Amino acid sequence: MKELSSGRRRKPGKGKYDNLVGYLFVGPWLVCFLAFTAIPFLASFVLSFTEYNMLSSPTFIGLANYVKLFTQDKLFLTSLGVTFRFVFLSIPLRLVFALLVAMILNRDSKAVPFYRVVYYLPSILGGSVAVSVMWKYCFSKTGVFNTFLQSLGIPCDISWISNKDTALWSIVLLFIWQFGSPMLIFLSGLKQIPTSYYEAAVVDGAGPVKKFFKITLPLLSPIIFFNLVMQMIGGFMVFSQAMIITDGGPMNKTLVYALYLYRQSFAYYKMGYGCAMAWILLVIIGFFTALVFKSSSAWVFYENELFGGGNKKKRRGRK
Amino acid sequence: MKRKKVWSVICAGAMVLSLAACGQGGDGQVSSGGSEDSVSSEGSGKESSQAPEEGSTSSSGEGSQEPSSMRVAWWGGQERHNATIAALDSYGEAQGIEFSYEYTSWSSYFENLATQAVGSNLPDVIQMSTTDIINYSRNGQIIDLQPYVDDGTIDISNIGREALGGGMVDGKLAGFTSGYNTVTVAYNKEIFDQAKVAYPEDDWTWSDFITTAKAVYDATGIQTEIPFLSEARWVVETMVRSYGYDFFSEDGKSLPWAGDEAVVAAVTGAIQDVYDGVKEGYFVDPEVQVAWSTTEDAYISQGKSAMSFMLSNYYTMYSQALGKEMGMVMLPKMDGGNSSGMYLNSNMYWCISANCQDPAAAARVLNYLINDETAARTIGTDRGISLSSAIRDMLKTSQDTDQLTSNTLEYVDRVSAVVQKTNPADPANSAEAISVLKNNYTAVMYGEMSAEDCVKDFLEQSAAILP
Repeated sequence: MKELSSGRRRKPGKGKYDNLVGYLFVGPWLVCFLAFTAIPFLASFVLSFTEYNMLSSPTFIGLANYVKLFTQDKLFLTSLGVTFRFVFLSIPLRLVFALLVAMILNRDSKAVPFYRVVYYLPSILGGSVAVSVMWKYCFSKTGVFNTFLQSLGIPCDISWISNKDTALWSIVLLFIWQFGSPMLIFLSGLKQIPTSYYEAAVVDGAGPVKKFFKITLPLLSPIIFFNLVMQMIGGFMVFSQAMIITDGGPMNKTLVYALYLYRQSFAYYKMGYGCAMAWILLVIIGFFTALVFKSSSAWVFYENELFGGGNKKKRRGRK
Repeated sequence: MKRKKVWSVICAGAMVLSLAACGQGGDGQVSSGGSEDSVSSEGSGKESSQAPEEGSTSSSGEGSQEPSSMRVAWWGGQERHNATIAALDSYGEAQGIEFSYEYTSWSSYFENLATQAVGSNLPDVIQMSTTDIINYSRNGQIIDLQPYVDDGTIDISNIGREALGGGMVDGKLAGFTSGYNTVTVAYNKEIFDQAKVAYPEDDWTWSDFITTAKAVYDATGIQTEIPFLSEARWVVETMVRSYGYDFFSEDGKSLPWAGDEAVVAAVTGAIQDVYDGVKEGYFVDPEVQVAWSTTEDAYISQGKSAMSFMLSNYYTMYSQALGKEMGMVMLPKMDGGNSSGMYLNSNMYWCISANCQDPAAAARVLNYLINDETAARTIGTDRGISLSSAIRDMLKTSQDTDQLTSNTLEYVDRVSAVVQKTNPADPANSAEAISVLKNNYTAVMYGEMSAEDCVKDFLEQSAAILP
């Protein structure tokens, strides 16, 4: 503060401390970024080349962790397979579901704000441990879900969370259920589409299906693109649901990558190995994100392109 | 142009990174939390290595001057939390120590502890498990308790030195066994009566067990739980012990029974027996059993299963849930085995961390927990059966001791008559090897793997996993 006031007493805007105020404003963020993101990030990279059990200091072992991952570790491949299945099942479904609900809510009604909150609730609750525990009971053999099916006259005697074929689906379902944040983003995207397009289309005799595919979807594609990237990254890192509902079981059918990483790091005291795994996950996420970015030019459509806003497109694409 | 491209790649990369770091609420905790811990360790590694020496020398001279505060950590259920807090509070009041308690459930306990170890911030007194003690001891996070036993701070006059072996790591007394524990088959007497099948006896064999399970099922339609589906090691351990082998070799580098084809074949056969029972329906469906997480979930506590394999310290809990007194019998011995496969385990340990400021005071707390009658009465047999014969006699004769506790005491007496020594602490990397066995065993019950492959794969993998 002292420096601040003395700076002002000199010539405002020209002194030695001109930038200080700026730095002060950025400061808290910068400190947190360094302490909780940048430094841990670099440290994990260094640690991935070490054998480190957390209880004593790390020893450098070169690429041994990576070599072991790719040559000896069967569960590494298993967990990768599970994660890919999870991502490719849950992300499209979640986005479709979010879009569906967003379209339903995209109308003028006094009840809409209420429903928006209601549909967002699962996302607030969803990541929590309590909901995962609840899920576990809902989908057990004597759970609510089976009772519900039976009341509909469908006899069902499966323990969904521990059946080898359905266990992953029970987690996928929980993930889809938390569609709130992509839904809100879709909703705001839908509101941006000028109604005049639809009116013109109706005049030209377009039905609802045609309107959706010819107007809504193309104009929404930047939003879909954004949601896809965000959700995919989240999907690759799914952890708490798998940990609490199934704990990776049965027979590692739900051993997602992050859960295996966690086990190696904390249960087996191989933090160095865990860090190596984290870096491989980063590369995988990076690869798929790059893939989506690369492919975006083919399917993401910006409104200003209509009017030859080619330059602008690049800037927005990167955001 | 090229530079622009590079820049955009970097931008995209940065975005991925920051997203990956903050993630999606809870999901992000894994990656960012994990690496965050590793950083702070670099600074603190030095501190933790010098702390133990200083602490132990300065405090031994201080006599019985008690520190004003002390942190105690353990895992467990609500019952244990209440009992432990009550016991320590009364000690704290008498001695003027303010205890702060750090208790969690089993699943998050060691994650917390490892993080605290990285920050040289371990609690003073720590409850430790048999699988993890070796890591903490080898890395100097917990201190050798031998000096405090030698100078009488921890009184072992009612215990005997040989009983401490369970807490030994590399010749150091890394942890003080909180109590013995063993495995048992708990059986529902009413169901046996109803089925008109004789109660099992301690000298029964594996094939007796299978025929009993089948007979009860045939008569009543009531199933038996799959032996230790949640931790296959406990049942396999008794099998190999029947043949006179330890589960892990003394140096912790191999499985001594792996080379004996007869034993491997017998274990394979026994696992096959269980799977046959699952197929024929007299064992509980593995899909159901694998999903149990609380005491109340288990069929045995609902009166829906005849027999259940469990750790002896759980007997009270399950009997209470059932509302009836169950029978306790030893695990069946293998048909071809020459002895009972039963063993006594250290249930868990009390340890003192290396960054404890006043280890002598902490040792006095341990002594209180181990030898004090009030503490023993409050905590009961929750942490296993006391090592101290005085405490065991006190509990046996005390008016307050309920029937279930005295059953447990009586059972452990029966077992200790058959077993000579306590198991040593588990070797390094054992947790990973054991989880392979657990997974394979589950896979067999699901019909996804043959019993033969289960054992073979476990032996191969553990050879690679054990150091």
